[in-house]
Amino acid sequence: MKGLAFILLILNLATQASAITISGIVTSSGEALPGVNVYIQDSYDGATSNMDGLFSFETSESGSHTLIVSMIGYQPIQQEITINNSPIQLNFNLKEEINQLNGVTITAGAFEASDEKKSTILKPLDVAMTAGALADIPAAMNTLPGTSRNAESGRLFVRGGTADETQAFIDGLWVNSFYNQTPNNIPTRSRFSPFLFKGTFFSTGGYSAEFGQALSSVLSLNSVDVAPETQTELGLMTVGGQVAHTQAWENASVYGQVGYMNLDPYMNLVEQAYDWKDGITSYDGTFMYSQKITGDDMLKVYVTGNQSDYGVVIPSPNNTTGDYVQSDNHNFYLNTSYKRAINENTSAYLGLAYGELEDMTQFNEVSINTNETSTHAKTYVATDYRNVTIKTGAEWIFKSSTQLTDVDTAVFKPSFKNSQLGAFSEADYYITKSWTVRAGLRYEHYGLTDQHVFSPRLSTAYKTSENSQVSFAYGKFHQLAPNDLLYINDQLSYEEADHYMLSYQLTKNDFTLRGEIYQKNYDELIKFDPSQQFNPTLYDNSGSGYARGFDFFFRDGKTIKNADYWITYSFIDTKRDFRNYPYEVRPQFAAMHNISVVYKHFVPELKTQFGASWSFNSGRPYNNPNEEEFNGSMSPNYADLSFNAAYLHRSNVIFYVSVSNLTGRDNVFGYQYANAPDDQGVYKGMPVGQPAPRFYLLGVFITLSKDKQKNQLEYL
Amino acid sequence: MRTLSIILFTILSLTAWAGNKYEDQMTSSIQSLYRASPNELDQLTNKFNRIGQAEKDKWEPYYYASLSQVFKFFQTTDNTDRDLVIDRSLEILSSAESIAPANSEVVALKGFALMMKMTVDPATRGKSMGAKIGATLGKAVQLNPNNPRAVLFLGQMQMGTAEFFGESTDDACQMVLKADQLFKEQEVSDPIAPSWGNYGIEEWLGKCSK
Repeated sequence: MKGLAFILLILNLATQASAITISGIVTSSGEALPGVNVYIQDSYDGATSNMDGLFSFETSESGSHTLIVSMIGYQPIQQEITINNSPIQLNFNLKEEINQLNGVTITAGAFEASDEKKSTILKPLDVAMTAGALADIPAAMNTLPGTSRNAESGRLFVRGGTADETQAFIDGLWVNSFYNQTPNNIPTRSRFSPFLFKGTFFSTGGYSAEFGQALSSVLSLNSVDVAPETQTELGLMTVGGQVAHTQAWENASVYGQVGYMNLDPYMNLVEQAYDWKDGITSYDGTFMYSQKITGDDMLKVYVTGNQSDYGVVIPSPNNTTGDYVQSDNHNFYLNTSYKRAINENTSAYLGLAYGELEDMTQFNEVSINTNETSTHAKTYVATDYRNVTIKTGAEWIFKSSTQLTDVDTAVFKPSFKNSQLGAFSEADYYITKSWTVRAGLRYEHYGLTDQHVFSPRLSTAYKTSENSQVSFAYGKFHQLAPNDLLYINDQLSYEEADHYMLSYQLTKNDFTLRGEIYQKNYDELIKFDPSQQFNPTLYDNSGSGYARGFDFFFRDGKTIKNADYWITYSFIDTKRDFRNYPYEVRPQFAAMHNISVVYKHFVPELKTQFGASWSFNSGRPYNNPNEEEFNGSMSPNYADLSFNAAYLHRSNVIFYVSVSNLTGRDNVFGYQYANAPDDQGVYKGMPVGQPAPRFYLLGVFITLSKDKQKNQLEYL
Repeated sequence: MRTLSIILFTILSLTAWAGNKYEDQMTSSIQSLYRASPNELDQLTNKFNRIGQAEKDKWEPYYYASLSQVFKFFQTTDNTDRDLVIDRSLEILSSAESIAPANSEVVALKGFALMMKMTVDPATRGKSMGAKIGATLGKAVQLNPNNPRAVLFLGQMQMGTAEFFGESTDDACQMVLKADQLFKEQEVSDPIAPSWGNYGIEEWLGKCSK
């Protein structure tokens, strides 16, 4: 027992006698750094630095140990120390950690709606709840600066570009057929519901090297992750209905949706400008599967398909009975992606999309059958190395399109197949916390013409103060020629655009102010001789053009209680010489002045959100063949005032009402002229107007869930 | 034999000593948690993190390191700062989660912290985070139906939703009442076990007695 007592005594002495003081100062860039955790690894001994950066603690450890100096937002220091009998004095200088989380985000041309990231300009609900947009993603984007609304089309026209120049991507993969099929001059909607996407990224130029095949703009959507709850949703609207069910497990979820739309009853009730023999009728189905593998590794499968048809007589300057247009359209789209973390700093992505489109349109006596398939396979690896993030990838895009008509097709063979390889690499360098540079290069090889092309991209953002920043972006963009032109000549070269843009953004509390100026130069645009439209030898890439202007965006979510509004103005000065244009002239789809005001007001007492939006465009040019000057005439100004309201009856029941163009303003988008002059040598003209003065929508949306929360009562 | 017993005894006493150190350090830190200023809370977070990295199999240090940041959140007013604080709290809590993934207390705190994150911008985050918070708190109750915090937070969340939509608060009240009872029965013998959360429960009970 004596021995034991002795050991205990020794132990006791050992623990008390060897208390050594470790102290020092922690600084960062010469300034004292408070709050730093300084401690001996695997022991309790340590301290937090005080306001003067001073730390001091006693330790009973001895021998070799590791001292750790750590603070959130700074690179930690590990230092080997030997503790013997004398106090230790050590000073440390911590370096700030700079990465994409705290670095400056490049905002030139970029509009992002997301819950996850801070300082986004839009919120996911904005996309669904903008008055007049009727939960259509491109319609909501049309209230953002840089766009020029073509209400008779419904598509996105960005900064003097055609609708083709904006391309949509889902989870990084290209969507060939983003819009529904509608007759000419009847506005279309996107095939994709905004409720299935957690993030929307809309770029009006200067975007990342990851994206190709879009001369003007990209709309990139990120699908929702694993759903947290099992639930069933029912939607009943004046134009149709849908049922959706989500089955959720711990790390996976499945979503299935079927919908049916039929505009006939509505069109019988509300007077329409055209004679609809068969209002747009469609069936659609969507399936989604999300599986979280481990950590953040994620597998997503998204499948959607629809079938739609219609038949309508549209007044025409070519014949007194009007043009009869009938269409039957099938569409299928599969999108699957797998994202996986290879290690702490590296992640890999693998994606595959496949699309199929079949359209049978009858135009008076002519039937036109269009078949398209598209495949996009893509992979990339993203690595963070200190304050640099590098993303490198490769992709393959295959597109095949055939258009068969029963008109004599001996002259040309309306089909093409293009297999295209792409590769990209881009580095985001967070030089300081207030300065970021992104440099990227994209390579493309076009199978049709065996052409190689490089597209460099460069952008930078600099934080000018706590709340403001300037961004600059430059890029070269290439895109395969449009389908209808490739049908005639599949040896056409790609088209090209250069973007330069300078942007200033101020974000303070709930205010956002952004101004942007840009210059876009088009080259290699395709031209042909309209008098010999079917002669492939007269097609070439000799066209060019430019667009320049400025955008203004202001959003305020604070001044009016429970209200949020934004105002945008875009000035677009653009001219181009392309397609059948005889010379450089302002194109038909670009208005000079574009204004949008979007307002939302939640009234808690009524449990209702009210929304209003007003859009205005100055006139757009149209070509009057009776006049000398090409595109020499100007349509009247366009304006639309729309309202909506969503009433939250219960937590799971929402009533929705919407009226587009409340005032019933008779907008005219331009004039359509007869193909040939009449006896007096005059081309007969007819205004292109709206399909109906107003559009009304009523709906009720019900969510049925097992309500896990309520079921918890069973356990009590 | 004698040598062996000495060694054993030494090891035992050392372990006991180490165990006491853990309890002493944790207890004193936990006691100071409830009245600490934001600066002191940062210091406590650091201290709990130090204990956590030394005691690799214990979830409690990281739980309290995270809770310190939640308490700091209550004392923070600027929304950007509030986001930073609550994000840090959630990040630290993930260390506790990886040690004890099916612990009702850890899951309840996660649900609570997510609920606080939602309150920074309820109009925007309500819709997207609501279901996740409900599911997280539901899981906490499921893991231990007698965890007063899990039951109370879930009850509070349901009450908020029910009040907003003008629905019956009966179910929510049942949970709050149950939570109150659980708080009263809560064993205080283990000073390290979480015992916080009943602050202001009277107000919630008051809503139910009407």
